[in-house]
Amino acid sequence: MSRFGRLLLFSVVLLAFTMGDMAFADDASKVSIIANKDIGISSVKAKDLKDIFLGKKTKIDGVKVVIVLLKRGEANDIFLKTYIGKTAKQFSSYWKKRVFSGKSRMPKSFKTGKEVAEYVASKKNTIAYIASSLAQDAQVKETIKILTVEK
Amino acid sequence: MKTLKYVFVALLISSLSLSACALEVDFSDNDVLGDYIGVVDIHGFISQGFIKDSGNNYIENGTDGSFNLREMGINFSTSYGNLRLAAQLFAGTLGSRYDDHIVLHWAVADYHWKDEISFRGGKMKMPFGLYNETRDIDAFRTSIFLPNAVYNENYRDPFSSITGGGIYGTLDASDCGSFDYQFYVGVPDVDDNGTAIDTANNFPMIQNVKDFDLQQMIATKLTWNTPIEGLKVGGSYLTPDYDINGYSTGMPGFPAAGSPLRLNVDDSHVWAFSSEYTIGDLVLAAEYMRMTGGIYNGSTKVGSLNQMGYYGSATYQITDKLSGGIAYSVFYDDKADKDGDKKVAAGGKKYQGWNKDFTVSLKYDIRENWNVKAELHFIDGAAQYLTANNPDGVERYSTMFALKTSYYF
Repeated sequence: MSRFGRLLLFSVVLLAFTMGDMAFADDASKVSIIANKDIGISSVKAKDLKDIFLGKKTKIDGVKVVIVLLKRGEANDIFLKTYIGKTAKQFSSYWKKRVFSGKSRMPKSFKTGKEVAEYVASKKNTIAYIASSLAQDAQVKETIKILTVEK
Repeated sequence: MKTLKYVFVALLISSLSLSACALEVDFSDNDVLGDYIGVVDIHGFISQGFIKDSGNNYIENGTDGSFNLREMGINFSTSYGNLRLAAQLFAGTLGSRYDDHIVLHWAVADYHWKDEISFRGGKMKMPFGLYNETRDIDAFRTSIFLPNAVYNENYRDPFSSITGGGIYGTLDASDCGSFDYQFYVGVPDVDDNGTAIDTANNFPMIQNVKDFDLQQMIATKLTWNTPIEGLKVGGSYLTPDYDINGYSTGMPGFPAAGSPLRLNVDDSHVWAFSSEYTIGDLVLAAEYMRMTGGIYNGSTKVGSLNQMGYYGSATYQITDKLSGGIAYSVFYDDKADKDGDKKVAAGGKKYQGWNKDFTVSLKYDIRENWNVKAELHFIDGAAQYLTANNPDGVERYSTMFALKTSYYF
C-alpha cells in the first residue's frame, strides 16, 4: 500500500472512531438515568450501570437498587446501545434466557417512559432510563431524581 | 401420569391464551401468604418441530420425517427479601426419546448475599459453555440445534442439570472488565428414557443398558467480560463420572453374551473454552471442547473416552424480524484417531471417527413472542449417530432439515 493509501486508511479509521465517540456523546444526551427521589446516590459509573441492567450487580456504592425497563422505543434503543452494548432484541433475549434458566426474575417493564417515571417515583430504590425530553419535563422532574453517569 | 400430562398441557395452553405477556399473580393482599410470597411471576414456552434427514437418522429410526421434536415448559418465581424461589416444569420429545415426560426441569432457592458471592441450591441448570443452560429453550436463538460438536445431543440429559448447591457472583476487575463465575457441586439427574441410555448402548462391549447413573460431580464456569465492548471469553469444567448397567455383548475379555455387565466411566473430565463477540447485530461465537475419561470393568480399564469438538458460528439480525446464522462444527470421537483407522480395526467405518457439520439457519419473528425457524445441516461423518437410530449402519454423507415454531410468554 502506498504512503498516501496508508495515510488515507489511517484518516478514515481515526474519523470513524472520532465520529463514533461523537455519536456516543450525542446519543447519550437523549437518554436520562432516573431513580427514586429518596435514593442515596446522585451518580453512577457507566460500568456499574451496565452490570446493574444485566442483573450482575444489585448495588451502587452500597445502595441496593431495583431496575425498571422500557419495553421499546427510541430511548430504549439508545440506552441499550450506548450503555449496555446490546440491541433491543439481544437485551430482551438475554433477560428471557436468565428467566428460563432459573437465574433471575424478569425486571418490571413498561411500554412508555411516562409509566416508567411514575413507577420509579412510587417505588423506593428503583432506577430506570427514559428520554431526556421527558425527564426534563417539569412535572416529571420534580417526582424523580436524575443521576449523572460517570465514564 | 397421563392425567398429570393433560393438566400440565392444559395449564400451559390456558396461560398462553390468557396473555401474550408474562403473568403475575399477586398474593400481596392475601392475609396468610401476603407477607411471604408477594408477586409470583409465571412464564412459559411451547415449541413444535419437524425433522427430515437423508443418509443417516439423527434423532430416530425412519425416513419419512418426524414431528417428534418439541419442548414445553412453565415456570414460577417469587422473592422474599434476598431469597428467590423458582421452579420450572418441562416436557419434551426428541425422536424416540423423552416421550413428553413431565420433569422438574429446575427448582432453585437463590440467596443473593453480595454481588461478589451468592448462594444457589436445588436442581440447577448445568453451567457449561456459552449456551448449555438455555439449550432446551431454542426460542431465543437463531438456530434450532446448538453446534453438536460441543452441545452433543447424545449427552443432552446428563448435561442438563445438577442437583446440589454452589456459589456464584461477579467480580469487578476495574479497567480489565469483570469476571462472572459459578461453582456447583451435586449430582446430575438422568432421564431413563433419555438419550444417555442410547449413547451408552453405543459402547461396543455393552447392550440393553438399563441404568445410567452419574455420581457426585463438580460443575464450574468462569467468564471474563473483557474491556473490549461485546467480547467475552471463558472456560467451563465438569467431572461427570458415571456407571452403566446392562448386558455383555460377549466381546473377548468380557462375560458371555447376555450376562449382566456394569461399566464405570471414571476420571472423567469435560472442559470447554468459549468466546463470543457481539458487534451490533452480528454475533460471532467459537468454542472448543474436550471429554476424557477411562472406561472400567471393575478395576480393569477396558477403554477410554478422548473426544474433541469445536465450532465457529455467526448470526446476524438481517431485518427487525429476520435473522440468519451459519455454523461449522467439527467433532472427533477419538482425538488420537482423527482419520478413523481405529474404527476400521474394530470393524467399523473410517468416517465413524468424525462429524463435520455445516449448518445454515433462519429465524423469522412472526410476533414479538412467536417465531418460526428453518435449518439445514450438511454432515460429513457419522461419529455422533447412534446405533439405536441407525440399526442398518451409517453412511458418510448426510443432510438434515428441520423446521420449528416456538411461542413463549
